[in-house]
Amino acid sequence: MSADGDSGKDGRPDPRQLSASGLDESQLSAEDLQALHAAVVLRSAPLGMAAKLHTLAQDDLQAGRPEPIPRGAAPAAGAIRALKLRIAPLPDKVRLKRLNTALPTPRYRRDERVARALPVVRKRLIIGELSSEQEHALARGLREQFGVDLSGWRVAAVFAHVPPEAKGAIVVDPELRWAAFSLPRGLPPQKCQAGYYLVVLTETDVEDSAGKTRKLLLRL
Amino acid sequence: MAALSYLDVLRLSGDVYMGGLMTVNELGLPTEFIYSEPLRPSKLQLSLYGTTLGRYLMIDVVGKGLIEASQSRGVPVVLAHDELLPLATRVKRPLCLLTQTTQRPMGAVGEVRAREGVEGGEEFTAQLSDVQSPYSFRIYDRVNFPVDQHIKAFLDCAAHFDVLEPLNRVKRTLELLKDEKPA
Repeated sequence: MSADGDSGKDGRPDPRQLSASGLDESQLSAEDLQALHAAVVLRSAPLGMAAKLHTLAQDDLQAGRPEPIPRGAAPAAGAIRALKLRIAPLPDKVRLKRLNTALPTPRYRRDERVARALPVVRKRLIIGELSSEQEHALARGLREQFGVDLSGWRVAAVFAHVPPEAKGAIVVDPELRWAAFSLPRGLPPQKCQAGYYLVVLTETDVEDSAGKTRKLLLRL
Repeated sequence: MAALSYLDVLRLSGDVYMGGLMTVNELGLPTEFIYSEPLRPSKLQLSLYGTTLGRYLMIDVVGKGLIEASQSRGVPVVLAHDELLPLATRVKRPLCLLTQTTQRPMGAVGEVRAREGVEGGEEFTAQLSDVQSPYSFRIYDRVNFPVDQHIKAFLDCAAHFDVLEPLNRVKRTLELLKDEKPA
């Protein structure tokens, strides 16, 4: 089909007439001819980063605005086929890849020995935390331990529930704010005895904390 | 015999998460200790999860995992920080945040007073010992933590030890374990 709509006997354009595109279309097959008329010229942007599709529409041709293809420079049929390949439809399937976004599950470990190795800290009891029965038991315990010879010593601090099983691993803060103990390795906590109080005695004639101290465990 | 559990999840440098749960008996001695090995999300996971990653790891991965792995069923859990409180919607164990107030003793041992107008949960104070200041409990709701049912464990334990002290032990234990290489 030529731009002016004239055609020969077999429906092909008159070879003596050139189409508005300026090409001799007589040597083209019907398929190539159709492709040429629907030709798409890719005009690359200056940097080649983008492209603009431009279709040579029929009305463009009739308006006398054909693409500036010089006369006599008709592309070969192979070139037109290459042009057809360029405008082949986009693939309708893309290759998808799924990322594994699941977070790993941490491994849990059970180890009571780690926790038992750390000292247990007891705060110093404040006045009034011992019941009157416990105070009597404390006085009785001190008498039993030291007899009547307690002159020069005073009760400086009491710490509740220090098991006698931890007797060898008791540390007392120099300022008597806390006492810490560790359980012997391998001793189950349920075997530790309750009700024992750590009593710290200091010399009454020494004011600073550098004075002598005595520690004892009493069941109150 | 009364018992309390203590849960802490640490966010270490480099977006590494590690948690530990310790259960103590009424003398404050550990009867159970479970910890998670350090969990380090990849850069891709950091990017994909964005700001929700920390909360997800603390609550849904490490915290929930530790509580579910614990054998101390039904024992109340004291949480180390308030970011862990939403765990109450994921597990069946009663959870609370515990702090000691500086108020004067407010009455007899065992007295509980609700506090009004607390955002992000419920709060009440309880007198756990004769002469100490009352403790403040923050809970998610009373469905997870029925106060009447669980306050007794705190009373029994507070009679023997400072009920906040084991939290320090959990934290110190995790600090020791964080550099340990897996066996």
